[in-house]
Amino acid sequence: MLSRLKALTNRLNAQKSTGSNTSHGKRISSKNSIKHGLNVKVDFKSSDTYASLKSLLVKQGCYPFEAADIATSLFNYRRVMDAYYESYIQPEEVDEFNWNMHLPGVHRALEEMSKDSEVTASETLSVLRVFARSQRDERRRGGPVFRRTVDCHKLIRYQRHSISRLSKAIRSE
Amino acid sequence: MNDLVKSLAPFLSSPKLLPGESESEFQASLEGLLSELENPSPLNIALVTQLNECLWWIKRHTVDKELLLHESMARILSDADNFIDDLLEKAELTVSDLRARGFKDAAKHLKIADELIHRQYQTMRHLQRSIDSVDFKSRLIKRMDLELADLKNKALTIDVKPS
Repeated sequence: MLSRLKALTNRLNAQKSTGSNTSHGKRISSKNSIKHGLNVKVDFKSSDTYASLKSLLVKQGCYPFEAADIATSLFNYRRVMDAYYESYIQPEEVDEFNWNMHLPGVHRALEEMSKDSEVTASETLSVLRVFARSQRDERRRGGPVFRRTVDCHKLIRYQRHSISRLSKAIRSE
Repeated sequence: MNDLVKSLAPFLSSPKLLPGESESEFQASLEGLLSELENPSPLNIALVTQLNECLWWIKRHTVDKELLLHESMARILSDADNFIDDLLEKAELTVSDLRARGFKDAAKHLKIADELIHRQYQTMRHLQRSIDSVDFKSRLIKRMDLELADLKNKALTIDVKPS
Protein backbone atom coordinates (compact mmCIF):
# COMPACT_ATOMS: atom_id res chain seq x y z
CA MET A 1 0.00 0.00 0.00
CA LEU A 2 1.38 3.43 -0.94
CA SER A 3 1.72 6.04 1.74
CA ARG A 4 -0.21 9.30 1.21
CA LEU A 5 3.04 11.19 0.77
CA LYS A 6 4.31 8.71 -1.84
CA ALA A 7 1.01 8.80 -3.72
CA LEU A 8 1.10 12.60 -3.76
CA THR A 9 4.70 12.61 -5.01
CA ASN A 10 3.78 10.17 -7.76
CA ARG A 11 0.89 12.35 -8.82
CA LEU A 12 3.08 15.47 -8.89
CA ASN A 13 5.78 13.68 -10.90
CA ALA A 14 3.17 12.40 -13.32
CA GLN A 15 2.30 16.00 -14.16
CA LYS A 16 5.77 16.30 -15.70
CA SER A 17 5.31 13.20 -17.89
CA THR A 18 2.92 14.51 -20.48
CA GLY A 19 4.46 12.78 -23.49
CA SER A 20 5.63 14.36 -26.70
CA ASN A 21 5.32 18.12 -27.14
CA THR A 22 6.42 18.73 -30.73
CA SER A 23 4.28 17.73 -33.71
CA HIS A 24 7.08 15.44 -34.92
CA GLY A 25 7.21 13.68 -31.55
CA LYS A 26 3.43 13.38 -31.47
CA ARG A 27 3.43 11.86 -34.95
CA ILE A 28 5.98 9.27 -33.86
CA SER A 29 4.28 8.43 -30.58
CA SER A 30 0.93 8.05 -32.36
CA LYS A 31 2.41 4.91 -33.93
CA ASN A 32 3.64 3.47 -30.62
CA SER A 33 1.05 0.75 -30.37
CA ILE A 34 1.02 -0.14 -34.07
CA LYS A 35 2.50 -3.59 -34.55
CA HIS A 36 1.13 -4.78 -37.87
CA GLY A 37 -1.34 -2.00 -38.72
CA LEU A 38 -4.14 -4.43 -39.57
CA ASN A 39 -6.60 -2.70 -37.27
CA VAL A 40 -6.13 0.57 -39.15
CA LYS A 41 -8.84 1.18 -41.71
CA VAL A 42 -7.43 1.52 -45.22
CA ASP A 43 -9.21 3.21 -48.08
CA PHE A 44 -8.44 1.00 -51.08
CA LYS A 45 -11.07 2.74 -53.20
CA SER A 46 -8.87 5.74 -53.89
CA SER A 47 -6.09 3.64 -55.45
CA ASP A 48 -5.72 3.10 -59.20
CA THR A 49 -5.10 -0.62 -58.87
CA TYR A 50 -8.41 -0.97 -57.05
CA ALA A 51 -10.24 0.77 -59.91
CA SER A 52 -8.50 -1.41 -62.51
CA LEU A 53 -9.31 -4.61 -60.64
CA LYS A 54 -12.91 -3.52 -60.24
CA SER A 55 -13.26 -2.80 -63.96
CA LEU A 56 -11.67 -6.18 -64.76
CA LEU A 57 -14.26 -7.89 -62.58
CA VAL A 58 -17.09 -5.89 -64.14
CA LYS A 59 -15.85 -7.00 -67.58
CA GLN A 60 -15.97 -10.57 -66.28
CA GLY A 61 -19.69 -10.11 -65.66
CA CYS A 62 -19.93 -8.91 -62.05
CA TYR A 63 -22.27 -6.07 -61.11
CA PRO A 64 -20.28 -2.95 -60.09
CA PHE A 65 -21.27 -3.19 -56.41
CA GLU A 66 -20.31 -6.88 -56.34
CA ALA A 67 -17.02 -6.14 -58.08
CA ALA A 68 -16.32 -3.41 -55.51
CA ASP A 69 -16.98 -5.81 -52.64
CA ILE A 70 -14.80 -8.56 -54.13
CA ALA A 71 -11.95 -6.14 -54.94
CA THR A 72 -12.00 -4.67 -51.40
CA SER A 73 -12.03 -8.15 -49.86
CA LEU A 74 -9.18 -9.34 -52.07
CA PHE A 75 -7.06 -6.29 -51.27
CA ASN A 76 -7.77 -6.75 -47.59
CA TYR A 77 -6.79 -10.42 -47.73
CA ARG A 78 -3.54 -9.50 -49.51
CA ARG A 79 -2.81 -6.91 -46.84
CA VAL A 80 -3.18 -9.53 -44.10
CA MET A 81 -1.00 -12.04 -45.95
CA ASP A 82 1.69 -9.41 -46.54
CA ALA A 83 1.70 -8.62 -42.81
CA TYR A 84 1.86 -12.37 -42.11
CA TYR A 85 4.94 -12.64 -44.33
CA GLU A 86 6.58 -9.63 -42.63
CA SER A 87 5.97 -11.14 -39.19
CA TYR A 88 7.48 -14.37 -40.40
CA ILE A 89 10.66 -12.91 -41.83
CA GLN A 90 11.17 -10.29 -39.12
CA PRO A 91 10.41 -11.85 -35.75
CA GLU A 92 11.27 -10.01 -32.57
CA GLU A 93 15.06 -10.04 -32.37
CA VAL A 94 16.85 -12.24 -29.88
CA ASP A 95 18.98 -10.25 -27.45
CA GLU A 96 22.20 -12.21 -27.92
CA PHE A 97 23.92 -10.57 -24.95
CA ASN A 98 21.12 -11.48 -22.59
CA TRP A 99 20.70 -14.93 -24.07
CA ASN A 100 24.38 -15.89 -23.83
CA MET A 101 25.21 -14.09 -20.59
CA HIS A 102 27.27 -16.36 -18.31
CA LEU A 103 25.75 -15.73 -14.90
CA PRO A 104 28.54 -17.23 -12.73
CA GLY A 105 30.98 -15.00 -14.64
CA VAL A 106 28.79 -11.95 -14.05
CA HIS A 107 28.61 -12.85 -10.37
CA ARG A 108 32.41 -13.04 -10.14
CA ALA A 109 32.77 -9.70 -11.96
CA LEU A 110 30.26 -8.03 -9.65
CA GLU A 111 32.04 -9.34 -6.57
CA GLU A 112 35.34 -8.09 -7.95
CA MET A 113 33.89 -4.65 -8.60
CA SER A 114 32.32 -4.39 -5.15
CA LYS A 115 35.52 -5.33 -3.30
CA ASP A 116 36.75 -1.83 -2.59
CA SER A 117 33.38 -0.15 -2.47
CA GLU A 118 30.52 0.15 -0.03
CA VAL A 119 28.35 -2.24 -2.02
CA THR A 120 27.16 -5.10 0.18
CA ALA A 121 26.95 -8.76 -0.83
CA SER A 122 23.15 -8.69 -0.71
CA GLU A 123 23.11 -5.72 -3.12
CA THR A 124 25.39 -7.64 -5.50
CA LEU A 125 23.05 -10.60 -5.31
CA SER A 126 20.01 -8.49 -6.04
CA VAL A 127 21.74 -7.05 -9.14
CA LEU A 128 22.58 -10.60 -10.20
CA ARG A 129 18.95 -11.58 -9.72
CA VAL A 130 17.91 -8.80 -12.15
CA PHE A 131 20.34 -10.19 -14.75
CA ALA A 132 19.09 -13.73 -14.17
CA ARG A 133 15.45 -12.69 -14.51
CA SER A 134 16.13 -10.83 -17.73
CA GLN A 135 17.97 -13.87 -19.17
CA ARG A 136 15.16 -16.19 -18.09
CA ASP A 137 12.58 -13.95 -19.81
CA GLU A 138 14.68 -13.78 -22.96
CA ARG A 139 15.13 -17.54 -23.13
CA ARG A 140 11.48 -18.17 -22.34
CA ARG A 141 10.53 -16.32 -25.53
CA GLY A 142 12.70 -18.80 -27.43
CA GLY A 143 14.86 -18.46 -30.51
CA PRO A 144 13.92 -17.00 -33.91
CA VAL A 145 11.73 -19.94 -34.98
CA PHE A 146 9.81 -19.86 -31.69
CA ARG A 147 9.30 -16.13 -32.04
CA ARG A 148 8.16 -16.12 -35.64
CA THR A 149 5.69 -18.93 -34.88
CA VAL A 150 4.17 -16.90 -32.07
CA ASP A 151 4.17 -13.69 -34.16
CA CYS A 152 2.36 -15.38 -37.07
CA HIS A 153 -0.13 -16.92 -34.68
CA LYS A 154 -1.18 -13.44 -33.59
CA LEU A 155 -2.35 -12.78 -37.15
CA ILE A 156 -4.43 -15.87 -37.85
CA ARG A 157 -7.63 -14.26 -36.62
CA TYR A 158 -7.12 -11.51 -39.22
CA GLN A 159 -6.56 -14.15 -41.90
CA ARG A 160 -9.69 -16.02 -40.82
CA HIS A 161 -11.75 -12.85 -40.94
CA SER A 162 -10.40 -11.64 -44.30
CA ILE A 163 -10.78 -15.00 -46.10
CA SER A 164 -14.32 -15.51 -44.89
CA ARG A 165 -15.16 -12.00 -46.05
CA LEU A 166 -13.64 -12.68 -49.48
CA SER A 167 -15.39 -16.01 -49.80
CA LYS A 168 -18.70 -14.43 -48.80
CA ALA A 169 -18.27 -11.60 -51.32
CA ILE A 170 -17.58 -14.09 -54.13
CA ARG A 171 -20.33 -16.53 -53.26
CA SER A 172 -22.98 -13.84 -52.87
CA GLU A 173 -22.03 -12.62 -56.35
CA MET B 1 -4.01 -17.60 -69.77
CA ASN B 2 -0.61 -15.87 -69.54
CA ASP B 3 -2.19 -12.56 -70.60
CA LEU B 4 -4.75 -12.89 -67.84
CA VAL B 5 -2.04 -13.61 -65.30
CA LYS B 6 -0.09 -10.57 -66.50
CA SER B 7 -3.16 -8.33 -66.28
CA LEU B 8 -3.54 -9.38 -62.65
CA ALA B 9 0.08 -8.82 -61.73
CA PRO B 10 -0.43 -5.31 -60.27
CA PHE B 11 -3.07 -6.57 -57.81
CA LEU B 12 -1.30 -9.67 -56.64
CA SER B 13 1.99 -9.09 -54.93
CA SER B 14 4.83 -11.02 -56.55
CA PRO B 15 5.76 -14.28 -54.82
CA LYS B 16 7.53 -13.42 -51.60
CA LEU B 17 9.96 -16.23 -51.17
CA LEU B 18 12.41 -16.88 -48.40
CA PRO B 19 16.13 -17.20 -48.99
CA GLY B 20 16.76 -20.69 -50.32
CA GLU B 21 13.29 -21.17 -51.75
CA SER B 22 13.10 -21.79 -55.47
CA GLU B 23 11.04 -19.37 -57.53
CA SER B 24 10.85 -21.82 -60.43
CA GLU B 25 9.35 -24.43 -58.09
CA PHE B 26 6.82 -21.86 -56.89
CA GLN B 27 5.89 -20.93 -60.47
CA ALA B 28 5.68 -24.59 -61.54
CA SER B 29 3.29 -25.32 -58.69
CA LEU B 30 1.20 -22.26 -59.65
CA GLU B 31 1.10 -23.21 -63.32
CA GLY B 32 0.08 -26.75 -62.37
CA LEU B 33 -2.87 -25.39 -60.42
CA LEU B 34 -3.80 -22.89 -63.13
CA SER B 35 -3.86 -25.63 -65.76
CA GLU B 36 -6.60 -27.35 -63.77
CA LEU B 37 -8.95 -24.41 -64.29
CA GLU B 38 -11.76 -25.11 -66.74
CA ASN B 39 -12.75 -21.49 -67.28
CA PRO B 40 -9.80 -19.23 -66.42
CA SER B 41 -11.02 -15.77 -65.47
CA PRO B 42 -9.20 -12.95 -63.62
CA LEU B 43 -10.98 -13.81 -60.38
CA ASN B 44 -10.26 -17.52 -60.66
CA ILE B 45 -6.61 -16.86 -61.36
CA ALA B 46 -6.36 -14.50 -58.39
CA LEU B 47 -7.91 -17.14 -56.14
CA VAL B 48 -5.66 -19.91 -57.41
CA THR B 49 -2.62 -17.71 -56.76
CA GLN B 50 -3.74 -17.31 -53.14
CA LEU B 51 -4.28 -21.06 -52.92
CA ASN B 52 -0.76 -21.73 -54.13
CA GLU B 53 0.57 -19.33 -51.48
CA CYS B 54 -1.33 -21.26 -48.79
CA LEU B 55 0.36 -24.47 -49.96
CA TRP B 56 3.71 -22.77 -49.52
CA TRP B 57 2.83 -21.59 -46.05
CA ILE B 58 1.92 -25.17 -45.11
CA LYS B 59 5.33 -26.32 -46.36
CA ARG B 60 7.11 -23.56 -44.40
CA HIS B 61 5.28 -24.25 -41.14
CA THR B 62 5.90 -27.98 -41.52
CA VAL B 63 9.63 -27.32 -41.83
CA ASP B 64 9.35 -24.97 -38.83
CA LYS B 65 7.96 -27.77 -36.68
CA GLU B 66 11.20 -29.69 -37.13
CA LEU B 67 13.22 -26.49 -36.56
CA LEU B 68 11.34 -25.83 -33.32
CA LEU B 69 12.38 -29.23 -32.12
CA HIS B 70 16.01 -28.63 -33.09
CA GLU B 71 16.04 -25.23 -31.40
CA SER B 72 14.60 -26.73 -28.26
CA MET B 73 17.17 -29.56 -28.24
CA ALA B 74 19.97 -27.03 -28.73
CA ARG B 75 18.67 -24.99 -25.81
CA ILE B 76 18.63 -28.03 -23.53
CA LEU B 77 22.25 -28.68 -24.43
CA SER B 78 23.32 -25.07 -23.97
CA ASP B 79 21.53 -24.84 -20.62
CA ALA B 80 23.49 -27.87 -19.47
CA ASP B 81 26.63 -25.72 -19.84
CA ASN B 82 28.68 -28.74 -20.85
CA PHE B 83 30.02 -30.49 -23.90
CA ILE B 84 27.47 -32.52 -25.78
CA ASP B 85 29.47 -35.74 -25.53
CA ASP B 86 29.96 -35.29 -21.76
CA LEU B 87 26.31 -34.57 -21.26
CA LEU B 88 25.21 -37.57 -23.24
CA GLU B 89 27.68 -39.77 -21.42
CA LYS B 90 27.17 -38.56 -17.86
CA ALA B 91 23.43 -38.30 -17.98
CA GLU B 92 23.21 -41.53 -19.96
CA LEU B 93 21.16 -39.56 -22.41
CA THR B 94 20.62 -40.80 -25.94
CA VAL B 95 19.84 -38.54 -28.88
CA SER B 96 16.29 -39.84 -28.94
CA ASP B 97 15.94 -38.98 -25.23
CA LEU B 98 17.15 -35.51 -26.04
CA ARG B 99 14.62 -35.31 -28.87
CA ALA B 100 11.87 -36.41 -26.50
CA ARG B 101 12.88 -33.73 -23.99
CA GLY B 102 13.04 -31.18 -26.78
CA PHE B 103 9.57 -32.20 -27.89
CA LYS B 104 8.28 -31.77 -24.35
CA ASP B 105 9.82 -28.30 -24.07
CA ALA B 106 8.57 -27.16 -27.46
CA ALA B 107 5.13 -28.79 -27.15
CA LYS B 108 3.30 -25.48 -26.77
CA HIS B 109 4.96 -23.96 -29.83
CA LEU B 110 4.51 -27.14 -31.88
CA LYS B 111 0.80 -26.87 -31.14
CA ILE B 112 0.87 -23.26 -32.33
CA ALA B 113 2.61 -24.35 -35.56
CA ASP B 114 -0.10 -26.99 -36.03
CA GLU B 115 -2.73 -24.31 -35.62
CA LEU B 116 -1.01 -22.21 -38.27
CA ILE B 117 -1.04 -25.18 -40.67
CA HIS B 118 -4.67 -25.88 -39.86
CA ARG B 119 -5.52 -22.23 -40.58
CA GLN B 120 -3.95 -22.52 -44.03
CA TYR B 121 -6.02 -25.63 -44.74
CA GLN B 122 -9.17 -23.78 -43.71
CA THR B 123 -8.21 -20.86 -45.94
CA MET B 124 -7.64 -23.28 -48.83
CA ARG B 125 -11.10 -24.72 -48.30
CA HIS B 126 -12.61 -21.22 -48.51
CA LEU B 127 -10.65 -20.53 -51.68
CA GLN B 128 -11.66 -23.86 -53.26
CA ARG B 129 -15.33 -23.16 -52.57
CA SER B 130 -14.96 -19.68 -54.06
CA ILE B 131 -13.26 -21.07 -57.18
CA ASP B 132 -16.01 -23.66 -57.57
CA SER B 133 -18.61 -20.95 -57.19
CA VAL B 134 -16.99 -18.73 -59.87
CA ASP B 135 -16.51 -21.74 -62.17
CA PHE B 136 -20.08 -22.91 -61.70
CA LYS B 137 -21.47 -19.43 -62.34
CA SER B 138 -19.52 -18.98 -65.55
CA ARG B 139 -20.70 -22.41 -66.76
CA LEU B 140 -24.25 -21.52 -65.77
CA ILE B 141 -24.03 -18.21 -67.64
CA LYS B 142 -22.72 -20.00 -70.74
CA ARG B 143 -25.53 -22.56 -70.55
CA MET B 144 -28.15 -19.83 -70.08
CA ASP B 145 -26.71 -17.99 -73.09
CA LEU B 146 -26.96 -21.15 -75.18
CA GLU B 147 -30.50 -21.82 -73.99
CA LEU B 148 -31.50 -18.22 -74.73
CA ALA B 149 -29.99 -18.46 -78.21
CA ASP B 150 -31.84 -21.73 -78.73
CA LEU B 151 -35.15 -20.19 -77.59
CA LYS B 152 -34.54 -17.19 -79.85
CA ASN B 153 -33.94 -19.51 -82.81
CA LYS B 154 -37.11 -21.46 -82.00
CA ALA B 155 -39.08 -18.22 -81.75
CA LEU B 156 -37.73 -17.12 -85.12
CA THR B 157 -38.65 -20.41 -86.75
CA ILE B 158 -42.19 -20.03 -85.41
CA ASP B 159 -42.31 -16.51 -86.89
CA VAL B 160 -41.21 -17.62 -90.35
CA LYS B 161 -43.59 -20.60 -90.45
CA PRO B 162 -46.18 -20.15 -93.19
CA SER B 163 -49.64 -19.65 -91.76
